Amino acid sequence: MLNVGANPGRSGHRLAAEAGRIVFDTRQALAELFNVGDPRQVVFEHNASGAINLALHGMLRRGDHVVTTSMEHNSVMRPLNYLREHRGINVDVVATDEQGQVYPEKIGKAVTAKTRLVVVNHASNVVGTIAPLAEIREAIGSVPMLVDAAQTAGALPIDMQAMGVDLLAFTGHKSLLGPMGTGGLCIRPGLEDELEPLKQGGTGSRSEHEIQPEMLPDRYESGTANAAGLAGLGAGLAYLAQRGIAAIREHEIMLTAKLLEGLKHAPGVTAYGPEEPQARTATVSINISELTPSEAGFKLDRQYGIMVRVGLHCAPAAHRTLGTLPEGTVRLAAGAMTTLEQIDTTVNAVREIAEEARA
Amino acid sequence: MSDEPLCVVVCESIHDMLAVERTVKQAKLWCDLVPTPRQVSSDCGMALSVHLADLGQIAGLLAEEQKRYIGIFQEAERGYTLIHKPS
Repeated sequence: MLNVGANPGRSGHRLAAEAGRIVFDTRQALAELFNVGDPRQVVFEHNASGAINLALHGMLRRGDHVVTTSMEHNSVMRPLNYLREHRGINVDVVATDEQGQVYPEKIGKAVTAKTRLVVVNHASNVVGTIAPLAEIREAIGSVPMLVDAAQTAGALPIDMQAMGVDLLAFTGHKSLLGPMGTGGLCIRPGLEDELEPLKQGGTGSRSEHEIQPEMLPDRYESGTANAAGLAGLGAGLAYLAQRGIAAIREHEIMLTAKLLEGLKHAPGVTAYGPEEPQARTATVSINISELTPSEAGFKLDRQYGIMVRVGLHCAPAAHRTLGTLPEGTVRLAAGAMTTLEQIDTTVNAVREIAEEARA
Repeated sequence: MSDEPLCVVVCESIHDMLAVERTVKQAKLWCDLVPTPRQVSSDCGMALSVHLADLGQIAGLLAEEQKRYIGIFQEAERGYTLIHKPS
């Protein structure tokens, strides 16, 4: 991309073609990673929030019913509340347990004849608890399922067809190792007939028509693509393909186990979420006695060079479920590049801060 | 470029066009992305120029891999003529 500053597919010259190929390759790699079935069904957006908004605003009509969970991010809760107020949709928020575990039978029981969509966070962005997608699919029958995979795309194996996922929203900048400003929505073939586009505009195709084209991905992709960002996302996907999602998952389970074990024996430290590392991603939320999350996060940053996100993580519903409102938590997030030494350093830092706070 | 007669594959979208290009390239057949001749279509800004002699093989490959395209056109005295349509 360094030497290709052209608009992908907007002209017939060589650099426009080359930019188009970069976007094409990234789309293809995503289709393979998630087993979408047809790369055209991968629609680029700026992030998972953009993808979720396309899915919710595009699918839901007046009077529709939606089932979701109490562990959702505001990227789901805010558009749903907006649509409840402005489009008269009805939303049932099914409670998880206090560790964020979703029970498929409870989701199934909430489904009615008017349920248009079930919306599930594949893994909590606060405590990493993984939702059992295949079991949820079984419990909800043929109702379309939108999965927020912001936390899991690139971290867990995702097979849209095997898991019965109809709409998969992902971001590029987390475990897919791409840059910020990349993401998208994968659409089960055929569902586009029910999914209205949110925007219309130039697509580089059918230019003589003043009506939006129907074919994918153009139906949903108006305006110039973030080709530079998608080139970076393509590089991240190439790395994941070479290392393998299963190997990365194994590595992250090992890191999470070590982190949880170290924190479990630290006086004054409370860790939230499932105890088994297999039941969660490598996202671990903690609190330290006598310190607010922001005070603890500030110490980690300034005294140890460990940067964490503190507070409510744009997920007040999840914190309400975990019992950590209004202060929130300190969120530690390991990834594919994190080492065991870094986990040791983090555990020691948390212990020292906790001891200092108790003294 | 050789003097061999050429024709152009035309698609609805950039994505479909690049998918066709990928198939033809993988078969190690000559091809070149060119601006779509205005007389043919303005569906997609690019068309794939290929050797007329490879038409049969290319049409077979595109059918086998279920690639989408509008048709294959050849330059004629007055504009372009449709010489192949996907079945």
